[in-house]
Parts: sequence; structure tokens; C-alpha cells
Amino acid sequence: MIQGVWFSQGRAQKYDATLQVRAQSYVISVEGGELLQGDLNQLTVSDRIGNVERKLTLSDGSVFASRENDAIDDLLQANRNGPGLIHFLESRVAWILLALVITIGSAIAGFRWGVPLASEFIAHALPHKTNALIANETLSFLDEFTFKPSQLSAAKQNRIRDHFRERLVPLDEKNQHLKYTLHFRAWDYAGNSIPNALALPSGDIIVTDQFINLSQNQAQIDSVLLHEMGHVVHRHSLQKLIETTLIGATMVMISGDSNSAVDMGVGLGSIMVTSHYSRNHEYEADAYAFKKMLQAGIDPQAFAKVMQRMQHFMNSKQHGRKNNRTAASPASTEKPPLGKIIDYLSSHPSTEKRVQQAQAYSQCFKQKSAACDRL
Amino acid sequence: MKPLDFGGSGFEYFKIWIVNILLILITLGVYYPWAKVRNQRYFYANTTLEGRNFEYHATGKQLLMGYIIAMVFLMVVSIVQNVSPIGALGAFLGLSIIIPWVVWRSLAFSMRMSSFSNVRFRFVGDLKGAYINFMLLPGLLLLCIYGGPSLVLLWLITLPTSIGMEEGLLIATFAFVLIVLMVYLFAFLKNKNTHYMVNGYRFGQGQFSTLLETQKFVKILLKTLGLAVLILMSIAILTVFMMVLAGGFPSLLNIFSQDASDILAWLLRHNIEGALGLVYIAFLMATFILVAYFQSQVRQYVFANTVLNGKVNFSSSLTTISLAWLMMSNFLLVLVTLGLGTPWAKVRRAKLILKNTLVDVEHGIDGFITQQQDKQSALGEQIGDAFDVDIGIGV
Repeated sequence: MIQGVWFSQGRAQKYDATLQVRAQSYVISVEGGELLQGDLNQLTVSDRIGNVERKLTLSDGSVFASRENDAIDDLLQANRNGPGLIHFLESRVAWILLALVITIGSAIAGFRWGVPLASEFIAHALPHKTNALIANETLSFLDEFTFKPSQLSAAKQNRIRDHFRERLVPLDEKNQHLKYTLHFRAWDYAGNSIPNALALPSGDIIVTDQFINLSQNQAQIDSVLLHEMGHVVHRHSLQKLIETTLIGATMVMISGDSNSAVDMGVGLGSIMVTSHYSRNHEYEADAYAFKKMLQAGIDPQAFAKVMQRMQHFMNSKQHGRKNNRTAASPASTEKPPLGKIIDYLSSHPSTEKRVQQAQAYSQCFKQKSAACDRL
Repeated sequence: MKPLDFGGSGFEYFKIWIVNILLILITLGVYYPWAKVRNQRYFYANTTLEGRNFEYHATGKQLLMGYIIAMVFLMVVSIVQNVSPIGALGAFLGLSIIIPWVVWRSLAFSMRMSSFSNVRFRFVGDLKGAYINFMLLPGLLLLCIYGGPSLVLLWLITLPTSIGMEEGLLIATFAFVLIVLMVYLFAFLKNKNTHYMVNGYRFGQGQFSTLLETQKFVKILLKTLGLAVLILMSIAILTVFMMVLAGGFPSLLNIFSQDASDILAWLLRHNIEGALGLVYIAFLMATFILVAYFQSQVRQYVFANTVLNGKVNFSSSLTTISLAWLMMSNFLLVLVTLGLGTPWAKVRRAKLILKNTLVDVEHGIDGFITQQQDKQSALGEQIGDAFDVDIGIGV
């Protein structure tokens, strides 16, 4: 016999009641003497969740409710479907542990490999027009709000542009449909002229005056231009867009209807994940540049040199600010713990690590060995 | 007056939560609507008043279609926002036109799917009210927040470099008027929103009704702002104090004679990134306290002035301190456990909030009877879910 309460359809008043089952039929006796009976198959039983009150809806719309979940499960087990698969999973510790391990494992695997791989695949499956589309107004927007016209002489600009078109663009033999265009701009920020280079997915590459002034020779300029071409070839802008969207959707699903305090933690998490992707894009573009430099017979050491020069320049300008984060991101060797955390949130890898990579490539450039294929 | 009670436990909910996440992952997201239903049912059914509990009646199947549309919609908006500045503006305008409808549908659906003691809730507010409350009024407030300062900036640009006494006074007056206007508009908006929602709720044949004054909201808001100024000042004093400790008094004098980037350089030279971290945490705590103060005060005021069917009264005993402590400890709990503590955080929140929600049950609830209402699709509910629309029906 199961103790519970009974409500007539849609009414708030509750009556004490008991439920009994005999073979395929049930009898509910309500306080006051009323008897309700019928076939067990006519009862709609809500799924079990934790130990909350169970509702058994009768065919006339009235409801028998009880917290004696185990008794109800036994009763249904004997007759029909049982407590349901989901509750089975929820109530076994072993399954919970397994769920925990699978969840954490697949979350890590998904963020580490799944999302980047999926984004890479989607980015390359989309037509090239998409690249032009997302870069559409970016340059004019930057021109209006960030850049100033270049102060470099037309002769110098033309010399670099010609070299770029004749020597570097042909290196990208797989992507002859890409139209690379080189732009020169000045970028002043907080009274300093910023050395930087950036690529738009359309193939527009922008270099700042200060970068050209800081570089000592053509090889150094080439190394950075090839790095930017790497971004274009790998469709990093598009990948980043897809990654952000995927992460955003996942976060919405996991956090669901959470409150603001939980949201803050989730937000911090997604920034860390997307910056991780962003740093991987930088390494990928670096690797592209190094390989093309070997192909063109330029020593990858040039990249290390120009990165260090930019870091040195930023350091001297910023009175020893340790954690500047432009393309030439300086980073000191010794960092307090907070500095390390900030690094993890940073979208660019430390200059130190990139310089090491460049030197490794430079080694095999000097030895003319094929060992670099492995890098 | 009797308090509501939450009977769930953190570990019990953890098991439900982790299985939900597992199934969402395995099904690549398709399971989400069913997960949401189990989630909601757990929290509703564990909420009791005098042995009677709430119920959530929506099914996963009902939510699925709306969920798919919402996800596609979310992706499109997210992509358009990233494509270009104009696209972002378009997405913003598009969303502001759709959101009121979403809120309206979402309220109607989620209320109809909720019951207490076998009697369903309803929401009967009209669409026009939703557009006034969730588009027109917020739009005016935004215009005030962004339009006013831009106007001042534009005017400043046209002026000669040195500003005289007269212009300074004029700007100060304009800024003052603008702030007064913003405070009043925000209080007015909060009042109208609450009014629209609470008066639209029905429990069976019973009507919720509330009569609130903007003036009272202005008071709460001004007190919150006052508290904010107080806290900010103490953080500033504390920061300067720490700088003095770290670098000695002479360098403090130097700070005031140098420009901003030099101060930053000084901070980093003295290696007090740790101290900067402390300041950041202080700001976070301050935010929690301010939010907790505003929310608990508004809640007390609204509950005390809300009545169901002219005789059932409500009251909130939630205090600023307990809510602020809950927010801080939950934040830490989620952060330290890398998210795995979320179920405990949610259960703690439900327990505290419900314990401090009081209902006058003297007249009994037996007389309430479910009323018929037109069927609503779950579309609005799911879009609202995807865009994190806060409709504040949570008790």
C-alpha cells in the first residue's frame, strides 16, 4: 500500500489517499470514502528525479502524488517499464564516476582538439568569398579609427611592394587565387608609434611605419610578411570566428540558466580557451613563415632578430613594462604568479618561445639538413 | 507568514547535472531540451510550502523545435556580429525588435508550464506592454547613457582648446541633469517592468497585483549609488596605502607629478602585480555587495506590496549580507572546482532565496482552480534561453 495525496483535476485542495495494486489494476481510496479504480496502463507516471514527489495522472485528469518512490518503482517494475534509464544512471555511483570521467575527458578533448579541428575543417570548406566578406569593411574601419596615412616615401613603399609581389607571393604556389595586397600605415597609440603588422582574411596585409623603420634589412621584413601570409593561407580569421561561435554555444548549453556569479567564471574560462586557440594560430603562422623562408633561402634567424628588436623597442618606450601584448610581445624570463596567469589569457605567445623556434629553424638552415621537416 | 523550503541536496543534484552534461555531450547537444526539463523539474518539485510543491510540466519534445531554431538564430547573430561593425549594429537592432516578443512568449509558456499544488500559473500581459517595457523604455535609457555624453564630446570638440569658467559650469550642469535623468529613467523602467510582469501573473483564477512607486525605486537606486561611492573611495584609499607600503612615501609624492603610463611603470617596477590582483578582487567583491544590496532591497519592496487575489500576502526577508556572502562564496566555489561545484552553488542559492520568501497561508490555497489558456509554443522560451534573457520570474 502506497501513502500519498489525491487532487481532482486542476484543483488545489488535497486529500489523503492510498494506492493499492492488484494484478493489472489499481485502487485509490481517497479520505472520505471515495474509491477510484482502473487499469494500470491508464496511469501516466512522471519520470523519477532524485527523490521528489511522483505524480500519477489518472485518465480523468485527477492526480495521485506520493514520495514513496521506491514503492512506486517496484510496482511499475513488476508491471511495466520501471523507473527509467536516466534515473538508473543518476542513482549508481559507478555510473556517476564514469559520467564524470567521460565528461571531463571529452570536454578537454573537445576544447583541445575537437573545436580547432572542426573550425579548421569548416573554414577550409567554405568558399574563398567568405574571407572577403568578413574582411569587407575592416580596413576602412581601421583607417578611420586607428591608422594614419603612412609617412614612408613612395619610392620606399614601391620597392617593398615590388619585392613582396615578385619574391614572396610566388612562394605561396598552392593559393594562386589569393590576391595579396600590401598596405602601409602609421599607427600612433598613447604618444608612441607602434611597430606591428596584421593580415586581413581577404589577403590585405598592413604594415606600420614603425615596423619598417625598426627592421634592419629586407630579410627581416620578409619574415614578418610571410608570417602574415601564413595567417591568410590558414584562414585564421575565419577559424577564430567559428571557434568563438562554437565555444559560445557550448557555454550557453553548459551554464544554462545560471546566475551572474557562475557566468563570470564561465566567461573567464572561455577567454582562456579562445586565447589558447589564438596562440596556436600564431605558432602555425610562424611555422609557415619559417618553411617558406627555408624554401626561399632566407635565414629564419631574421625573424628572431626582428621580434627581439620590436620587443626591445616596446620595452624602452614603456619604461620597463613587462607585459606588453602587441605582435612583438615582450616577456621577461622571471614572472610573478599573476604574470603567468595574464600570459595564459594573452592572445600571443611569448616572444622568447617564438625566438627559440626561429633559432631551431635557423640551425637546420645553416646545416642545410632536411631535419626541419620534423619541426 | 510561512517560508518556502527547498528540499534538494547538492550531491543529489550533482548526479542529475553530471548525467545531463554527459548526455548533452554524447548527443552533440540534441539532449539539451530534456536535460533542461529534468533540471527544472528537480528545482520546482523540491520547492515546497506547507507540504505542497511546485511542478514543471514542459516536455523535452515540446522544447526541441524551439531549441533548434534558437541555436540556428544564435549562430547567425554571432556570425553577423563578427563580420562587420554594420552587421553588429544590424544584429543589435534586430535583436531589440525580437527580444520583447521573445520575453512575452517566454513568460506565457513558462508560467503555463508551472503549477503549485496541482494548479497552473498563467501570464496574461499583452504584447504592447512587452514592447513598451522591453524595447521603448530600455531604448530611452540607452539613448540617455550614450547620447548625452556623446553630445558633450561633440560640443567640446567644436570649442577652442581652453575652456572658460562659463563653459565648465554649463558642462557640469548638463552632466548633473543627465545623471538625474538617468537615475529617474532607470527607476521608472524597473518599476514598469515589475508592474507589467507581476500584474500579468495568474495562479488559477487568482490574480497577482502590485502597485509600486517610482519614487521608492529612485531611493533604493540612490542609496546603492551612495554605497558604491563609499566602497570605491575605501578601495582607492587602500590602494594608495598599499603603494606607500610597497614603495615608501617619497615615491608616492612622485606619483602625483607623473602621468598615467609612468604610474603603471612604477607599479610594475615595484613588482606589486599581486597587489593589483587584490584590487581586482576588491572590485569584484564590491560588485557583489552592490548587486546584493540593490536586489534584496527591490525584492523586499516588491514582495511587501504584492498580493494574490486580494488576500494572500508575500514578504522577503533576504538581507544584503546573506545574499552578498552567497554570491561571493558561490563564485569561489565554482572557480576553485573549475565548474564542478556548480550544482552545489545552485542548490545553496535556491535554499537561501526560498528560505527568505514568505507567503501568508492563513486563508488557505484550497480554493484555487486551474483556468484554461491558449496553447503556447516553446519557441520564445528557448530563444530567451539561448540569449540569456533575464525575465526575473525566479522567486
